[in-house]
Amino acid sequence: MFLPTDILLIDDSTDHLILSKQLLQNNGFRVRSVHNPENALQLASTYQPKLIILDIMMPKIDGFAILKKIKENTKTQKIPVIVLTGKTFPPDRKKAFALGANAFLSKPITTGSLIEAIQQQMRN
Amino acid sequence: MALVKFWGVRGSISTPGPSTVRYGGNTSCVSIEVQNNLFILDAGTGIRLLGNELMRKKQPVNANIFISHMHWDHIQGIPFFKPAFVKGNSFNIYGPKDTEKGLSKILADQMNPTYFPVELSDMGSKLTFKTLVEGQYTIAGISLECLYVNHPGNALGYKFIIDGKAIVYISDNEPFPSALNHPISSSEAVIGEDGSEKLVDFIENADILIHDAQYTWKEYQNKVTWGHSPIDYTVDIGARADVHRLVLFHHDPMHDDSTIDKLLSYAREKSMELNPSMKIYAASEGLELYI
Repeated sequence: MFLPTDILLIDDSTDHLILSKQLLQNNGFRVRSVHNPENALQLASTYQPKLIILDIMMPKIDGFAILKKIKENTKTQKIPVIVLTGKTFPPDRKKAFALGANAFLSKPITTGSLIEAIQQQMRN
Repeated sequence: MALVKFWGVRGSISTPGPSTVRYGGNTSCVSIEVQNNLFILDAGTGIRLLGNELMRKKQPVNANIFISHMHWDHIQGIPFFKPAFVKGNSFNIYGPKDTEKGLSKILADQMNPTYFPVELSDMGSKLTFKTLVEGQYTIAGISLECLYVNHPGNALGYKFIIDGKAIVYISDNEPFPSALNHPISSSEAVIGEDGSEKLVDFIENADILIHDAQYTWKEYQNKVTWGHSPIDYTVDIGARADVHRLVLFHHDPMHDDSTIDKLLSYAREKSMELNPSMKIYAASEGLELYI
């Protein structure tokens, strides 16, 4: 039996994961991080977070591919996904929403803006 | 020693005509010849000229083709690349991963009979398709590093290390906001970075940097998120990264020869303030650079 998870962070950058996790935990969220994105779907299925924050541009695996798998898998498809990326082109935004993303945010982002977006998704 | 040669230097669409004769109107294609290896960077319409040159030599061709991304100005020359039709030739074709389709499918689709009378499968040479992601590789004994660049879809920048010197090819790239002095102004902690510094690290000390310089600063104001760079940014990062030779690339279709002349002068003047030792070229068809 696992401890409840509010947010699952998926990003290839260990530094970002550590900082993001700490900042979100400081704001009362229970956070797990995935620094090996190849395990993302399995971990999302296992932990059943209330929300996933997903990076798109990762060296070894395409974040869009992970998003697609999350939204196609019956165990994870209802989990809201916030895409948090340094790339903000309209075609990428469109693709993210077409694959089922619930929100699309740009890096860098203030903690307050991210928390506001998280709370909005959790309310929905 | 390596020879870098430019066969197509134009972005978006080919622009033939008397006003573009000096710099050329073919879309992106650059070749690197090193140690009896041929690396071809992008397959815009310029690859047709490279192919004709290779055919003139009447020798088997075995080459590695690196596609930066799948936008049509970087792949539209493949159907006209004659060596690909010759049995006995072989090509490894590399490109970034796509979420939806494989590399071979994307290239085959543009030669679908609806659009073109000859199919990819009709090519007589041996074609091998390989996906690249961000990271390091060794290809034909040459060290290659790949970096995702800021352009719609998956687009890679390529860095070849030859005899300790780097040739970097970033055909299409837009500055991240933080690179244009738009940092987040906040007392709150900030999460994530947008990749600006990663790019500067990637190009640092490059002997040759071939980089997108499609727009003037004024033009860029109306083209934000189009995926290309204003020339000011290109010069700035080249200077910051201590690049030795900067080649302004992916010329806008609206820029004729005299406009590119002016942009080159502007870039050189700007560079004198930032890094006087950096040499700047405006890419032109036929330009050759040696390392």
